[in-house]
Amino acid sequence: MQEAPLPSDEAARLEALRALAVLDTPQEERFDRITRIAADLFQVPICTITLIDANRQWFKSCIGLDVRETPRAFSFCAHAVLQDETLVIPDALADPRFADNPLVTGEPHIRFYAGHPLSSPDGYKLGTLCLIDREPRTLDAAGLARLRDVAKVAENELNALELSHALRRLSDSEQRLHAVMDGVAEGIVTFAADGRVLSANPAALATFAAEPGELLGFGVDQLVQGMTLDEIRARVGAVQPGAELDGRARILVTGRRRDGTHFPLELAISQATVNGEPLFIGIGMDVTHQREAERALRQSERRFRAIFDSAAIGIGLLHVEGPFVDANAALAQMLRRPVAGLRGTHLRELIDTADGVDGDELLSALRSGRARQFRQERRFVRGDGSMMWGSLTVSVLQEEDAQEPRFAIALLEDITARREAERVKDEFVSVVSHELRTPLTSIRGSLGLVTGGVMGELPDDVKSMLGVAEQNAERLVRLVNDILDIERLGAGRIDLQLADAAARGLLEQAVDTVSAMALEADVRVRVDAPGDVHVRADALRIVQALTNLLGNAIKFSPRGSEVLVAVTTSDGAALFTVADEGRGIPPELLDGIFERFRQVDASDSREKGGTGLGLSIARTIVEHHGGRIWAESTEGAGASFHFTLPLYAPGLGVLVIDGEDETESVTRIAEQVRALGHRPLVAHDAAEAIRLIADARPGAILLPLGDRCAEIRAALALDHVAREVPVVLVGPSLATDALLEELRTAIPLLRPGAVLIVEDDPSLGPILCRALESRGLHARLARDGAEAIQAVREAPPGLIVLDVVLPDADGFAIVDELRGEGLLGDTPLLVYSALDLDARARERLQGGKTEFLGKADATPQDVERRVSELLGRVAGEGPPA
Amino acid sequence: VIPGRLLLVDDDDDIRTIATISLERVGGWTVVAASSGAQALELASAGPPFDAVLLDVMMPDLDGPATLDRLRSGPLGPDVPVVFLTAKLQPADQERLNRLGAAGVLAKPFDPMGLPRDLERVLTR
Repeated sequence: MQEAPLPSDEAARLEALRALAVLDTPQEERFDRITRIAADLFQVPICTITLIDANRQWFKSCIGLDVRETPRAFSFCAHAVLQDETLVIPDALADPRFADNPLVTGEPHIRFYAGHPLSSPDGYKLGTLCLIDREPRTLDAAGLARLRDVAKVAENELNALELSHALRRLSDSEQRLHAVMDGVAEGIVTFAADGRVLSANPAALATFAAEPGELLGFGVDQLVQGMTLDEIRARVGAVQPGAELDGRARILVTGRRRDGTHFPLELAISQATVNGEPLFIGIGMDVTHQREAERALRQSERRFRAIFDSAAIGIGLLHVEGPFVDANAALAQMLRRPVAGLRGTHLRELIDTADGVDGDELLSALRSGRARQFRQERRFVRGDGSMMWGSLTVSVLQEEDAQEPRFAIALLEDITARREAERVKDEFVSVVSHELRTPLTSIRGSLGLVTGGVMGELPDDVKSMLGVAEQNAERLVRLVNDILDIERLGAGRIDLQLADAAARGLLEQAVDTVSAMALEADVRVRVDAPGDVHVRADALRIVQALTNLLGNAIKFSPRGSEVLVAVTTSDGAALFTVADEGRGIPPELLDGIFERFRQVDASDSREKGGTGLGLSIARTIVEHHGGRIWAESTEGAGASFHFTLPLYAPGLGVLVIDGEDETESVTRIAEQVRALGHRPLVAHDAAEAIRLIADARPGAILLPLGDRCAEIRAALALDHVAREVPVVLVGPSLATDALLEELRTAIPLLRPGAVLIVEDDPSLGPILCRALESRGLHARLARDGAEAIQAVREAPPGLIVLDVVLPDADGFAIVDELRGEGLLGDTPLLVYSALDLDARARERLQGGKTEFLGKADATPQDVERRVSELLGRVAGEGPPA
Repeated sequence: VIPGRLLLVDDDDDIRTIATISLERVGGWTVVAASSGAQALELASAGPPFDAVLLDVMMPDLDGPATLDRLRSGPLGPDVPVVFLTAKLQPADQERLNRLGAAGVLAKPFDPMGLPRDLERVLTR
């Protein structure tokens, strides 16, 4: 058997065959019709349209065969495609090329073969139309001519197939192109070399306000004000005619609409060649809006720049890490440094650290988001080395697209003059107080010795006159004291040392102070105070206020009567009361009673030895604490003085907003909140809510569902503090359990195990856990360092209560280990220890917010209160005090 | 407290007189008075030891705190109680003086009949 050699153009031939895309397509009637006619015409059992693939012959159509392909090696047709004329094998058995061909010796037992090649339009012979018989035959000239004709029909059909494919591909691509042209926002216009418009897409029509077809034939200068195609090409950089156009270059020109109006047109132009002709493609966009927005932005920037530059207060833009990014002239002038020198200078380098604290700690609070603003009065180092006192306010700059704060605005006010004035005044007050008190000491002292009988007996009338002098000397002493107090309090310059104070302790101290006076006046002082009321107060000052009120009450009490001093809680505040059984205060005087030098009876000051300043001082003190003071009286039935102080409010505040005047259900929700161990706060509208949120920093807001929910939420969202507090919408009658679940969802710190107690004492640990449970906090207990670290790894707690001395590892080691593993982060710590920790030890133990509590003076209740206070602060995220 | 020898230091003559009378006649102390810090240092080094010192705060030259400092490191030693007597009695002042190592602070003007009692109260604290 002889295998057909490959045609010389085999590779190109195969490519042409593949391009036809007909291999392995289904049978088609239009080809079968041809083979059917041929088989009938030539009276042969087998007729095929065969295509010669690389390793096989494949039949597009075949009559009389069951297979669709056979190997190329045995193919008769592979021989036929090697020649232009018809290949005729009258008897295969007699032909040495085919006698032993398996298609001859076996099925389909070919004896006769006649195949005419089928060519592609480019002339590649792709296959044949062939006739096969199982008997030897011949084909005369007429038969050959007919076979050629039939083969031509098959060839045309085959090539028509190729054409239709090509046409369809072209039309698809064109449709896609049209879809793109119609859909893009940019106007696309094509121009001929002479600048005439050839086409314009719908966006271009809209841009130029033209009807479809209207722009065809227009010149460039009719679309672009005062410019020709060449000028545009020159603008985008193709100065030489025929130079390459950079299609990416965009220029701004003035576009002209069909109605004659003008607009800013951003234009790019590129070049293509179609049928040997250059084609210019203009892509343009009306940028009116962008230009306006840019102008508005520039204008606004100019305005703010002007404010920035001309402000008398120093303003700087600060990176939250500390370096200044920008500074205004006032800041530079204040600090006596050039603006350029301030840029890049770290805030730390400007603050005088002689007093120990630098600004880094505060900046870190801003960075972590724990605070949004801080304000401090510090000494600043000027460029020339001199010092100035400045009031520094640093606020985080809220950016639209940044998650983490990146920049802060620093405002600096030079308060050197104010500080100096204060210092001078302080010195003056100090000198005056000394200079007044020294002679008073002598007067009062000498009179006291005489009237006390130390210098010998005196006649009664002399003694009584000296007594008058002594009493008035004493009054003068009190007056000096009170005036100095008023001066300090009134100027708002007392620094209240606010701390947790037991209300009963304050009452007892005040009662102690007046005990001698009460005894002398024969007035009994009764104290009525539960032990568990704690206030946030400066104890010394509140005792002073209470002493003033008590002193007053005793002075105006009849002998043998009683003065009641009591404390209760009311509306979330501590209510102090001092009540006497004296003559009372006329109603018309009640309001003015706290004014300076205001007494019920002008003779009082003389008779009772008062200064007329005591109540005024008490009011100033109470108001400095954020409390309220008032007097009540029924004339003739005694007077009572009341004041409120904020409760030392540990625990998590939960704000309930009563938007619908549903007092009853809100009261019930507040009770549920209290039952869960938290501190309910109630607001009646958005404004009150925002105020309460700023003051009390609740951990969550409960908003009963109602008509005004959306309105209230919108108002809260506008406030930068309020919007940080999670809002829980609650239904009309939520079970306490369900409420707890809602709160746990909103406040991660309430979730089970959020507090980790590290305590080895077998009795103290569980006691602490139970104490926290009463505050609605569920704690995990770790008995040693290993357990503690394991517990933190399992689930990071919201707060750690840490005993410093443990059996296996001390608290330092635990903190170091957790910090090393990156598990500590900002986790607040309550360090609870019998050890006295020095500053360095405390530094080592710092986590996030850290509190220290000595074991010696801390009961489990103290720990519980501190923990819940810490949690309240962590959840509420107040600014550093 | 058994009233013993007391060193009184005050630059004001009248106050010195009044306080001496009060402490000796009402309180039973033996008072040695000095009109300045320097004199106090001399007296403390010269005579028999004192049981207590009552020390004015605002004095020219050596003021109260400076006098206390020198008395402590010199003739007085660490154990003899020193009580300040001051006309400046803001809470902040009081705290500052306590931190200097005084047993207590008494206010001017004082009640001469009550001064010995107040002093004893401070000393027993």
